[in-house]
Parts: sequence; C-alpha cells; structure tokens
Amino acid sequence: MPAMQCNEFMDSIDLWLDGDRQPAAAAHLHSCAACQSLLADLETICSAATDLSDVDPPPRVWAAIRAQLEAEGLIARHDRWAWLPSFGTGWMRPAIAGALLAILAAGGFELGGWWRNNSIHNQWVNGNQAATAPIAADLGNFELHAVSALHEPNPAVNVAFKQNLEIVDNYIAECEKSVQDNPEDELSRDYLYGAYQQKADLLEQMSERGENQR
Amino acid sequence: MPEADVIRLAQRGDPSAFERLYRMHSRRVYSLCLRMVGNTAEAEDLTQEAFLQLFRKISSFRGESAFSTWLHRLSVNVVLMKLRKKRMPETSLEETTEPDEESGGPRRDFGTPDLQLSGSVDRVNLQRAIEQLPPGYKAIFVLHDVQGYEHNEIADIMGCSIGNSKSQLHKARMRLRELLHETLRDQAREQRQAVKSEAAGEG
Repeated sequence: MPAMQCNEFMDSIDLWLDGDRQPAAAAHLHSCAACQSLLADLETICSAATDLSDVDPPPRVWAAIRAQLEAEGLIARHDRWAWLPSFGTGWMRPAIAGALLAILAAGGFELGGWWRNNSIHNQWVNGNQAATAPIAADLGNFELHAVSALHEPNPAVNVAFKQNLEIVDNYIAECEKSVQDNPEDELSRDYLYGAYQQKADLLEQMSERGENQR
Repeated sequence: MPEADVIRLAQRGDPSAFERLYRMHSRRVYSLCLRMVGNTAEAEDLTQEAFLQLFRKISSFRGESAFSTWLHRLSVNVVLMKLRKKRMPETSLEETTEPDEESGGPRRDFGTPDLQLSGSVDRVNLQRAIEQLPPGYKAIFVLHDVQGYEHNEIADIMGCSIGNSKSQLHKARMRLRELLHETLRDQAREQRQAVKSEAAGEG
C-alpha cells in the first residue's frame, strides 16, 4: 500500500482531531515535519477555542426585550412594584415591607397609576431624581445587608457578585440619565424600573446565598 | 418545570414563561453572537433581536426540532443577516472546496507558516482572527469548536448538509491558522523594530 501523502493527510486531519487515527495517517505524521506542524497548530486553535467560554448577557438585554414585548402587546405590562415585597429572605422581609410602605406613603404612589401622579411626573420633568430617590436609598440599604450577609467561601463567586452589582449600578445610572433626558418617554422609565428590578433580583440572590452558607 | 411546559405557557402569552426561556438560553445565544461579531454592544442588539423574533414566532413552534436548535437557527440567521448588511465577504454554505475564494490569495496550507502557534495563541488573538473569517465559516467554527455542537446539529441549525458543515469547518480552521500566523509575524516584526529602535537610541 503506498504511503499517505501530505494532501491526503490534510484531507483526513479533521478525523484525526476527532480521535479517528488511522495507521496510515500516523505513519505519515511520524515522518512529515510539515504535517506535524499543521496538526500542532490546529490542536492549538481547537484548544484555544474551547477556552472562549460562554458569557451571560448584561441585565439590560432582558429589560429591553421585555419592554418591547410589552409594547407589542405580546405580554401584559408587569406591575412595576410586584418585585419589591418578594425581595429578600426571611430576616430581611419585615425591613423590606416597612421600606416599601414608607416609599408608598412618602411618595403618594398609586399602584398601577404611578405615572399619573402629577407631583412625581413633575419631578421628572423638572429633571431631578427625587422620584426614585427613596427606591435607590432603600436598595442601597438592602445592598449593605446582602453584602454583609454573603458568607461565600468561594472568592470567585464574591468577585462575580461584586462585578454584577457594578454592572447593574452602571445600568441604573444610564437609565436614570435617559429618563432625566426624556422624562416623557415611557420606555425609558420602563428600562429604569427594569434596572431596579435587576438589582433587587441580584441582591435577593446574594442574600439567599448568604442564608444558605450560614 | 420541563422546557416543553414552559414553551406551552409562553405560547399562551405567560410573561414568566418568556423570561424563563430567556434565562435558559440567553447565555448560549449571547455568546454565539459575541463570538461572531466580537463586539458586546452589537452582540446585545443581536441577542435582543433573536429573542424578539423567537417570541413573536413562538406560537408557530410545533416541536419538530429541538427548541434550542430552532432558537440557534434563528440566532445564526439574525447574525448572518447583520454581517451581510455590513458587506463583509459573503460565503455560500454550498460553495465548492476551492481554497482561493476565501483567502483571496494563493493556497498556503503547507510550509508557509514559519512559527509555531503553540503557546502563542491567546483568547484575544483568536477572537480577532475569528472576526476576520467570512460569516459562513465563522458560524460553523463558533458552533463546533467554541460551543461544542456536533456536525449533525450544525447541519440542522445552518440548513446545510453534514458534509458541508465538515468541509466549512476544515476551511475555517485552515483560514484561522493563516490569520494567526499573520498576527504572529506582525508581532515578531514589531518586536524586531522595537529592538532596533532601542539599539539606535543607545548608539
């Protein structure tokens, strides 16, 4: 049987990479430096490709999708406040419920008709952050609890939580700016509430993790 | 809850089912988009577009193929459309195996590369090289070598034959090898110039 040539080896190199190693190909490889080099390069490429691990999209992607689905009527508009009472676990719930009541009382919020509240609307139109300041402040307090409750032995998880918090905070800042620039734009406000919800979800995950590690 | 049940709920317009499907698949879809376009902002837009298309069409999903295959087919199409709009070199999935049409230059499979890639290829270099691949090659390389799909799955996703998927992957890898060698040569040249400049400065 004639020995395998370089072009034949190249034709079968993907089989080789998949683990199908024919004796003829092995014999050729043993005696051919060029094909050894080619194979080494392709193995390097395949190995480097597996290191390109999957990554999560930032929270704003889902917020944007949800807003669009709501705008198209594919899903019902969500209750912007539904997430607050469920936030937190066990020891944190009374504080959250109290905080929510305080927000509602102080801001005169009206569930389901929040944006029809003239004083809040005017605050946005006037370009100040008073409208969401109580939420931001309470989420800040919840963040302190969640971070201090996180007894995570894996430093990588701690780093990931902190990075995600930073990302969500940056997103909230972007959304707040967008709402201030366009106070009449309902979509911008939806994004902002989506951003707050993302932060609440993340803090909830952190506090749950903290509870589980106790 | 099994995925089939979540899909049925989404088909009835249940908002939490939409979100659950997104949470189940967004990592994979976003990563596919990111590896294919190499830009987070564009990857976010494409992920958004893919899921919007998915949710708009979800009532037509009958389960003939796996849901993830359906979603990936849709995502790949969204990305390919985007790449083609950007007027990148087009590649037909059913093209012949002529090598020159992709690289635009002479075939250089053997002998030409003078440096070993081993130990010199990092994620950044590889990602940059992937970005330079034609869209068809890029999609199959990302699906197979990065995301770990088998050729039969890729054939379903891309709507091509298994043989064509194998052939495209082979050509993608060979083209990546060329691109990475070009990068290494450029880096070596820059290092030589830096050394020369330093020596001239000392002299």
